[in-house]
Amino acid sequence: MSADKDKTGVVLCNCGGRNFKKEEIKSLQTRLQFSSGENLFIQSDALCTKEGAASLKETMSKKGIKKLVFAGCTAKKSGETASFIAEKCRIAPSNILEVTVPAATPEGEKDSPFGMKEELIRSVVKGINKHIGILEGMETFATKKVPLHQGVLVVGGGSAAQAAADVLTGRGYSPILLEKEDELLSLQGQVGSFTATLSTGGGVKQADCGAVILASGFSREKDAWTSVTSRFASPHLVPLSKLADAAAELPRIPSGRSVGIVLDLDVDEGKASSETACRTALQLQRQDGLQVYLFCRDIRVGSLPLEELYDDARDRGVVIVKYENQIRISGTNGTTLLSCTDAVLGNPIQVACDLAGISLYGVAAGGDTRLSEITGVDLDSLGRLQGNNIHLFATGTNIPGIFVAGGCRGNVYPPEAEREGRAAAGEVDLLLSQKELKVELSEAKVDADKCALCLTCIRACPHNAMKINREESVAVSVPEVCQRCGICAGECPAKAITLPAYTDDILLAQLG
Amino acid sequence: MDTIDKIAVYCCENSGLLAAGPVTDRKILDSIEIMKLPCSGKTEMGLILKTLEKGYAGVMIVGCPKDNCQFIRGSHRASKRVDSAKEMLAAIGLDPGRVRMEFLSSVDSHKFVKAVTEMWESLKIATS
Repeated sequence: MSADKDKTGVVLCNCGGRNFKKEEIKSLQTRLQFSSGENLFIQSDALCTKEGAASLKETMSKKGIKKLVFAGCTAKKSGETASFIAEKCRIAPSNILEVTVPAATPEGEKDSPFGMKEELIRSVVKGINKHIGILEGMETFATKKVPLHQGVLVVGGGSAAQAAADVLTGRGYSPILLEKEDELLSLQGQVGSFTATLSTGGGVKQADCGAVILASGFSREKDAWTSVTSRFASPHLVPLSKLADAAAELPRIPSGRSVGIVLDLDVDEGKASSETACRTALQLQRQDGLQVYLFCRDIRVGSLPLEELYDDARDRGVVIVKYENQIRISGTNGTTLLSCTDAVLGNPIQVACDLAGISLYGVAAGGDTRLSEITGVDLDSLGRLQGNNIHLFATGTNIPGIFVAGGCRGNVYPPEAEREGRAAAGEVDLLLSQKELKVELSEAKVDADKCALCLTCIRACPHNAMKINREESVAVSVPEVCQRCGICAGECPAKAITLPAYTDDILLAQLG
Repeated sequence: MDTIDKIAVYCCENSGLLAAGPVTDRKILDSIEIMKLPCSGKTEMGLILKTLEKGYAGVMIVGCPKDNCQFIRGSHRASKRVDSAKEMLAAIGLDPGRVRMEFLSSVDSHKFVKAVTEMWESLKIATS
């Protein structure tokens, strides 16, 4: 480091003898001898004023000082004086370090801890070369402007997608709403310049957009139902959505009929399921000679209309059973046997029903892998779009520029799904209203000579920032997508990738 | 090779560095050297080995809890790499306990102190 050769000036800022006493300064000058012996001591007044800085500049140029450590008081915020002096004396901000020393105590009182002052200054002087080294090692990066295409693609035709499209239209965008019969075939590009291939009623076409909202709703009914029928042999099971119709066809018998509703079969469900279950239960319970049993791990009624609905169902005679762990379903003699352990009393409960409706939102099944494969958005442990990570909540995904809302991320309660749709639209507006992204070119850099195109980085990158440059047979990182985490640099088996702000040299320089 | 009686602690700037911030215990601070990483996933095998080569008593990587990484999978990746670094150390006859991975959130200062203390104790036992 060339900086080592330059002289370090140590300035003791001493407004009116406030920080150091005469004998302290003398003693510091003799005791603080550094290996180079070139450190100069300057005693100065009022460094934080124009006059003080001007005289310091003169002294510095006379003595050829390029680096400064100054010990001063706490009159200004830490760093403020340093940047002031750096500006006035025309030295790089990295070449100046500030140390705040405790004020000298008035005559007659016990002395301020002199040893501590010495140690403080000594450590900072020692540190300045390291400090300069680290800052010098860091390049300053050029920036690039990436234009953001103002188109938005909203995938889905449900309430969340509609809400998102409404907000976007209100804010002057013209979103492309991809409804149920339409299909997203592929999605290329990155934030600000996606190209989507769509299959619509009018054939296959391409659309450019700057951001994408996935609000495709819950689309795993078929998978979930297959999973239920493969596990439980009883013929008297139907999906909850078809329970009311199926119950209407039950033969009327004098002893009455009973219908079971099962929620939370594999995973706990939300308010939407509680609402559907309570509504269906009420509707059935009102019919003559029909008794409804509702099995759930927990009923979720966190809003006033839901609370009332739940109360109403109980008042009408729906039996609500809160069960623990797993519920067992078996079929015998034309009935479906639902057995479980009561969560409160711990008693075993067994109910024979003529028919049982299973809520499919509570079934762990396959997952919507298609959209995930097309867009690169992570699935969570239940196969829903949006990884299990709190940093992504509520509408973010691992891919910059793609947002999720509503059923596809697991929230099927209409008011909340709509809110998420609006929130996602807000995020899109926040992104696209910048018109262009100012991107610092500090993204992961790939050494073309070392890169063997083993695709490790492409698999490892959580944000899909690595792309293949086929002409030069090398992996490249897209600066506007790269989040500068360095996972690719850590994974690369050929050590072809570096993160410019955190090269090994910079990290090892910190170690000293 | 000079030996340095310190543990080099590579901290993720989103969790470990913040956890280490409020630590004031001089004994702990004197026994560690803290380096900032953008994410624990940046940890390279070479960096771990180079640090040990410099003579540090141990290397600790501090990342976020696994499902809470700012960069989705960073700390998960880091833990895998630390495991293979341990294997490598064992293969060349060094104590694999000289590398350690911790998953801390930004407020886990007490756990940070505990982890450093624990690592020191295990290193001392290994060398004595």
